Amino acid sequence: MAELGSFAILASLAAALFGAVAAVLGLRRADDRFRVAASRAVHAYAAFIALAASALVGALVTRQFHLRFVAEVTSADLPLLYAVAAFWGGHAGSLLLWAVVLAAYALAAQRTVRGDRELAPYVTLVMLGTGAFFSAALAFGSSPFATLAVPPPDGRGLNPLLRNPWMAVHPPALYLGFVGMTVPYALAVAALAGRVPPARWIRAARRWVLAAWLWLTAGLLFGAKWSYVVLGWGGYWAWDPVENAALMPWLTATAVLHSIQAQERRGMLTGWTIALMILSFSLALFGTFLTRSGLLSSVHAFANASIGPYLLGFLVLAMAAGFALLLRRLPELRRDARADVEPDGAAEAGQPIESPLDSVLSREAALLANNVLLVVGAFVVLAGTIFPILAELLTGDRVAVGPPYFTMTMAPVIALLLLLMAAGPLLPWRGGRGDELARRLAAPGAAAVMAGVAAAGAGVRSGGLLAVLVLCVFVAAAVGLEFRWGLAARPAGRAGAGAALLGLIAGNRRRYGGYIAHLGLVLVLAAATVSAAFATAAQGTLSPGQALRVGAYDVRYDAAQVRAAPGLRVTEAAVTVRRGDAVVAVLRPRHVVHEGRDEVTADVAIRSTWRDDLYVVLIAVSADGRATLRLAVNPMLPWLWIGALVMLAGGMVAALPRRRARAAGVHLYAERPAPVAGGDR
Amino acid sequence: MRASRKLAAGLAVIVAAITAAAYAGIRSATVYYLTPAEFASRPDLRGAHVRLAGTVLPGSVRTQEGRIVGFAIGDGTTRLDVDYDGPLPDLFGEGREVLVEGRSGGAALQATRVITTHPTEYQERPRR
Repeated sequence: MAELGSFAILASLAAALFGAVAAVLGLRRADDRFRVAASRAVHAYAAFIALAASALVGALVTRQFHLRFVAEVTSADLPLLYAVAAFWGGHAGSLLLWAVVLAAYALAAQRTVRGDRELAPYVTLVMLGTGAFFSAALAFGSSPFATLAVPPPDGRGLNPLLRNPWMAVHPPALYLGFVGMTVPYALAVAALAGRVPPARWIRAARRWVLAAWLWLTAGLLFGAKWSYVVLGWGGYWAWDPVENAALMPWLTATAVLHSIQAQERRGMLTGWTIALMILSFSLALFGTFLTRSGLLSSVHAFANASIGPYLLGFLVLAMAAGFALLLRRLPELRRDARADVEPDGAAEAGQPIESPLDSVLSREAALLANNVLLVVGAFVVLAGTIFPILAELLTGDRVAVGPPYFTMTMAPVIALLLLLMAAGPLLPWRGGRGDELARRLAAPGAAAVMAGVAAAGAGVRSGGLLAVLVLCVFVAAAVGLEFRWGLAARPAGRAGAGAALLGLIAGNRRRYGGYIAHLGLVLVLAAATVSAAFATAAQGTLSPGQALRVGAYDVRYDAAQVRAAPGLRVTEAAVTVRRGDAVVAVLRPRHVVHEGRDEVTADVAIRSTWRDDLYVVLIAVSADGRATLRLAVNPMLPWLWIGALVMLAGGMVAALPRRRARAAGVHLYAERPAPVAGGDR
Repeated sequence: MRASRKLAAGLAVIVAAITAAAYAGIRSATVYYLTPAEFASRPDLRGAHVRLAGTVLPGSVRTQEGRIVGFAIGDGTTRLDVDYDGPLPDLFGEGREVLVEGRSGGAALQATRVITTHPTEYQERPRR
């Protein structure tokens, strides 16, 4: 397996380099054989990466401990599923996962640009260039197929904290998001290099950004869920650099999804949208770099890690190439974009080439403001994430930037974004009147004020909390109004309300998908704020029969039992939960000692209702049978997960192709004569 | 063009305000991150807000009526006493690595927060 895997990685490197060279030659000489060769090289690259991945899965499943990676992340007693998930339980495997995802995307991207003589070679070049870089990193930097001279009798086993279903799915989702940013970057670079006007590729790029955004959202959700159920500190987000690494490209990808609307409708923000695509890819690379370079534990670890400097070099190269191309093409880009939306030739007739902004009170102004805020948010997070690294480099002192920095600076960004989220969709393109906007926002505003008064009456005293709640209600009411107007504008039919709503959404999936995602975000933010503000916690050491009160719950410790499993010592406590006089649940939090690794994890017991989460952690059971429990009540927290799912649903609705357009497309192909090879478009 | 000027001016003000907030925030939310030995050799950091990484020393956990009120952390060479009676992470225990945040007052560190080291998700922690 080791030989097969190492060979496959070297072969994938050769295929990627060959394909990249063929793509370049194909651009220089009008010879179709180079194009065909480049296209076949993508398939060969993908096949070799798949072979390497299969070899690693095989080695993990059959526990070939003479491979250092296998010995580090698996052990004989590890269940089969986690042995497979151990693929991304360590450094080298994670890099190979990157390559696997990239190979899949390279194949898919090739289909997107098939037949486009200008875009295809550059897209192949970027995808295979990136692939060659990661194959080289795998072959010469950090190989999962490196062998040990003396194989250990058993492996160290997967880090117990990673033995969790959420952690099994979190890295693949996150990487599908990170690596997904490669495709829009490749399309943007290809369009810039091949002087392809935006109308020909920006729609395809939007679909790719949306796909990557969906995976990033899912990855963030899975990671937060893992943190909540496994780490046992009761939280789900700590502004940890690893988390920030995923949040930053999410913010810029969100910005792309918004700016692209102004690009398509008004031919505005074209250069800016492309810049955001380059930035999103750069931040995805930076996220990989941050988590994979050892930089986080210390600057000195970075210097020792072989792969860190290469990753940084590649990141700088990708950014420099993208932005240099963009700057060179900016003047033509503006002209092209303008010509796309005004095909009457206004651009050629010496009209101003910049799209003028007609009014501050216009949809495009709101979209631009939203973009600036999202990018500022990404930079605020970036500053807090890299400040400790820079400080250590400059002063030698190791420092940490605490969560207060992030909450303090992100709060105004989020508040302004919420305001735009309510007002932006109500603004017409090109501009509207202020009194019209005020009239439209009157009802949501009134709802928001009433919610604020009600919350204040219910005892909410914190100004920040009140502001978030009021803004969330404001947005939700404004979105609700959009749906109501949409429904009212539909012809009255026999269909029921549910069918009418589905018809409305299906009729304009991008628009209503976006609104659904907005509602999901509002739920996430409201749940995050409320749960943080009203969480209650208690900790105590109890004898059997004793109870501890937390919030509205009485938690009685009944008994504990110890069970032994291979390599594990599991202590399980049974606790009876009462709310008032009624017994509502019996929970079984567990405390697990991983004997081989001398590590302890907690299996948190959580009782979720629509109102709150009761979170029970068993910290220890003493020899005389007394249990130390930590309890927390997190109000509204279940809505955070629901909100994230609503966001994903909204994104998926927006990602669905239009049914009519697709049907028309099939029709078109059916009637068209057989395409000539490499036919011009 | 007047509309774009207005928008640009408005956005510039907002960006400037957020940048200022970020600058102020990074100054106030930054804590020194040291080992107990490094902390002992830095008398200038007495009274400063620090985060220390160390191992909970065996036999050092002090309790009062069943509650933990303090412990000591060490890094092989230096021992530092910690006063603390807030919530502890569930992985807390003798011999475990913890991060302690607080200020030193007198002999012991007055901790405001004790957390376990967040694993660099998929990466192995360095073995000691």
